Amino acid sequence: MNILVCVKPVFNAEAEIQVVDGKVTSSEPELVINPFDEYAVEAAVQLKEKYDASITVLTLGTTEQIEAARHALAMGADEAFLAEIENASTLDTRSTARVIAAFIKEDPRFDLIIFGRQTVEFGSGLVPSQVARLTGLPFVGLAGKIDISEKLTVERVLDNTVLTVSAELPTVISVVQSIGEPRFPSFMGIRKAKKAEIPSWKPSNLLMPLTSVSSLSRTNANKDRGECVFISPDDPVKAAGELFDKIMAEKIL
Amino acid sequence: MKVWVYFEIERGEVLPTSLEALSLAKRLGDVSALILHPKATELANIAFSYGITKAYTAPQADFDQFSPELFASTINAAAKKYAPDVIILPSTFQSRELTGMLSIDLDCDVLNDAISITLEDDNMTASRPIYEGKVIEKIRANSTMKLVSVRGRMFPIPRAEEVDGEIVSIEKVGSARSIIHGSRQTSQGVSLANAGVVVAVGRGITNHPAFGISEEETARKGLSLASDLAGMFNGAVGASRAIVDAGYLPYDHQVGQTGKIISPDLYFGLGISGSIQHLVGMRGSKIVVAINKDPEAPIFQHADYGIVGDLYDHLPAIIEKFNELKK
Repeated sequence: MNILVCVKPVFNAEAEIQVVDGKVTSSEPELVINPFDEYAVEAAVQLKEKYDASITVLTLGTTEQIEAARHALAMGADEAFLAEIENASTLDTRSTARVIAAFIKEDPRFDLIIFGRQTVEFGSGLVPSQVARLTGLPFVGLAGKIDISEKLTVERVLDNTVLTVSAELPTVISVVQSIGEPRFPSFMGIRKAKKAEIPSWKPSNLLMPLTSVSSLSRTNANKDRGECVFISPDDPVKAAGELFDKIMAEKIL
Repeated sequence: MKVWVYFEIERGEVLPTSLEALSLAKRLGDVSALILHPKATELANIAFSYGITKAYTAPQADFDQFSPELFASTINAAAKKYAPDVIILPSTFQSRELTGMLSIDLDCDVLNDAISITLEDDNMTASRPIYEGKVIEKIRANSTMKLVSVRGRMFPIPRAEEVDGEIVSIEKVGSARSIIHGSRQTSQGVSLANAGVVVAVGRGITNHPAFGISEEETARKGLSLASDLAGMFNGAVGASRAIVDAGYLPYDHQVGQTGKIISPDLYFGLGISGSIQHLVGMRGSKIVVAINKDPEAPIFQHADYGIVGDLYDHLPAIIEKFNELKK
């Protein structure tokens, strides 16, 4: 079985993100793998352990932006490709999806294409179903558990409900964190990933030029609220009374 | 401008976010509801009760279960026939799948996760939170037809206004590509994203030495108190990652970076220290109340009201006090 996992390099979500002169900057400029994509790689590695699969990783960007792919290799993926694109991080979702779909059409050996549910930066979560539509493959989103025997069966994790869903392979899926905690790369894995060559692939048959999001402005979100008002009485009943009065005065209930 | 609002149906009911989208849509132009469900005709009456005069409906039995392929193909065909200028959908995980496919079928730009929409001449722009709400970006849709997805609780539900509406049946096009074999309900009640009040619990609920019981039993006690408090407001229980990772609640209760971004009117953080991963999920809350033993807990920097103390000492009194209100 051949699995393709798509990963995106992003700013570390725990770093300080700030807009300076209309540009988003981070206190940690080094990019890391999108945390949602770590679950996608984890899902692929679990399948590899179970079904003897081969894992290919695809990432978009410049030759400087291959950290996410290296991390996936260190976790246990077998090979990685870079779709070499200058402004990958600002592409609109349809353009991103068209690049990935072109890769899949050119290399049709994949039985399963796995995405994280969304990115941590723009977070639209649109690309997985767009890729399915462009390739004509079925789409099963939000998989929390994956089983493959001839066809694909997944547990689809929705609000308040878990569905059991099956589809014919090849299929495009997105995964959620019920898959399990992403493993830490082993020492051997890190060494192997460091040495691995990540060949560039240039999309040739996109038919249309790639377009970027029409971004008009980016501003720092306002700090949401003022100083915290502490309710001081130690006596819980008195404190509850005071809290109750404050909340009722807000007229939100 | 012709605006369609897609009704996401959850267990036979219209998702509140779809009703909220009606008020945004009314500001933009002539609004029609778009309903794909066996009970679409009945559900159209809900649209008519908010002053919407037209509903495009697909009442075939196949629409009982959501399938992104079937729903997208059907809406695509209807949109090509009736040419709306804008289709507004909730930005829920389920409707995002549909939005993605429609953006391909209709070749249109998506103003996703919009928290506000501005229309000047024919220029439509949206503000959306990016980088987990740390940055607000204004984006423009350039395509002729546009898709807009809206977050829950960003727009008011319009006031009731009964009208006689027209129903236009649309054709079922395409078919599902996956089969649903079964479903099990993992939680009851309002979902986190739509709840007006959220009671979120953190590691603090697992620890109360005076009880002299195991961590797990303590956690169950805390969850039961949290759910009592949430229940009073028809609210939902949320959790930090530590609590879902420990298996005390299913993943769909997690608030934060890898969980849900929520914006309730009232948020209680109980025994939650306030890691950055959690904070990005709840910073959109209107009023934040935090209870924590540690006065230095970061959550207090993001709270309107704080109580420094043990949640097990304070929660019963708070529940009692709000109970008086109910009576």
